[in-house]
Amino acid sequence: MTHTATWQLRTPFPENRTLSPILENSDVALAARGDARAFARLYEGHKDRVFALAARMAGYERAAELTQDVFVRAWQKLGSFRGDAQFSTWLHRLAVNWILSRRQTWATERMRFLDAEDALDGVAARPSQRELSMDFETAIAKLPEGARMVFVLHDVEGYRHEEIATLLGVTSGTTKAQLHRARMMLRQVLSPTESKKS
Amino acid sequence: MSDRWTDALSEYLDGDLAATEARELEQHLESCEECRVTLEELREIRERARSLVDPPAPDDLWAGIASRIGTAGSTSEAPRARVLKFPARVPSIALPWAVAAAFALVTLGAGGAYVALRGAAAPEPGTIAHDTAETGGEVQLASFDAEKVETEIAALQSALDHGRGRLDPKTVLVLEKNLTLIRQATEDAKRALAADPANRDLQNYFAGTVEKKLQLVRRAATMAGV
Repeated sequence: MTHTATWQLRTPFPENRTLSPILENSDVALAARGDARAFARLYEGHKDRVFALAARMAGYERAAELTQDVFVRAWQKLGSFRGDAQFSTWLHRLAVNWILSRRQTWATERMRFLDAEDALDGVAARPSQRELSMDFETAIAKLPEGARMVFVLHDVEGYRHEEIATLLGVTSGTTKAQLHRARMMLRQVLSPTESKKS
Repeated sequence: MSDRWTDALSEYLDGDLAATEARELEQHLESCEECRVTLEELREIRERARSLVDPPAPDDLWAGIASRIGTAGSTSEAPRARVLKFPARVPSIALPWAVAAAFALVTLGAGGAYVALRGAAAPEPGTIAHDTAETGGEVQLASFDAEKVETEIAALQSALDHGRGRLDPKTVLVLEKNLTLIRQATEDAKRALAADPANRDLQNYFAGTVEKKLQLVRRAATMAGV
């Protein structure tokens, strides 16, 4: 059997689909000077991506507030954006850091998720194609926090283990173990019987 | 199923397993159907993660952001048109430039291609429609920032130059004509304000009107694929 690793780090946020890069750069420059209307256009171009990241990492119940926090911080920190990277990359990193920094405040809430090996029992097995994406999102949301963070950052967002380890303050061995744990748990969406055996 | 090999399947899938270990695992896979099935399921999980579609953000988030960053604006509402009368007091020394700038802007506003994009109510005769998307319906005093306008014009011109080879020449012509008009209006506005820098009505008028015209050109450029 041959195996080729095809997973590559992808651009954290896709290109803004509303504005050309040149116009977006113009908006970044204007927003950094205090132009709220230019910042509103940047928000419109990136809000869905930030919201999705927050929802998958922290849960839908926290995603709206986190999205607002991220854009307020972006507004405050735009002056430090030097343009070395794309605005989307800078915003993504800011969002990840902010979401991770808020984990401490979720300590009590997340207890219900920790080590809940049967947490995915409520997820429908073999859903229809139409329900597939929603059920998969639901299954991700029910993962234990550590496994969910690593799974989202690695498999959804395309971060490398070394980067995730740095962000989370753990070793890459730990992130690899958490990723495998998450994937094995998510197999229940595909085949609950099989995953119970493992 | 061997736990030793099962635990290595994700690393193998991602190409993170050492070469020697990967070869040993491949030998194991040849004789273990259960591990082969598990590997394919892990691969499917990874593919699903890659192809997830982002859920849309709720529509009501911007208002909270706007209030926290100190602007009363909201992009959740379509820009509305307000009626702003011509400045009540235009000193005689500034009048020629003010009239020239107003003429250029009114000419630009008459561009039929952009009226359709505007989606706003027609202004009353003798008045200029003022876009108040940021003001929540209240006409605010604003300062005319020529440098900001020139930055936006330069960005639009740069984007236009960048896309010139693939755009309809007529579209390029129309957009460039309107950028020229805005440039001219900006120059005239600067002269008018230099002659009467304390005139808040004039500041407000130019700030609102030039900004609106820039927005129309920006939207037209975006729709044209610039």
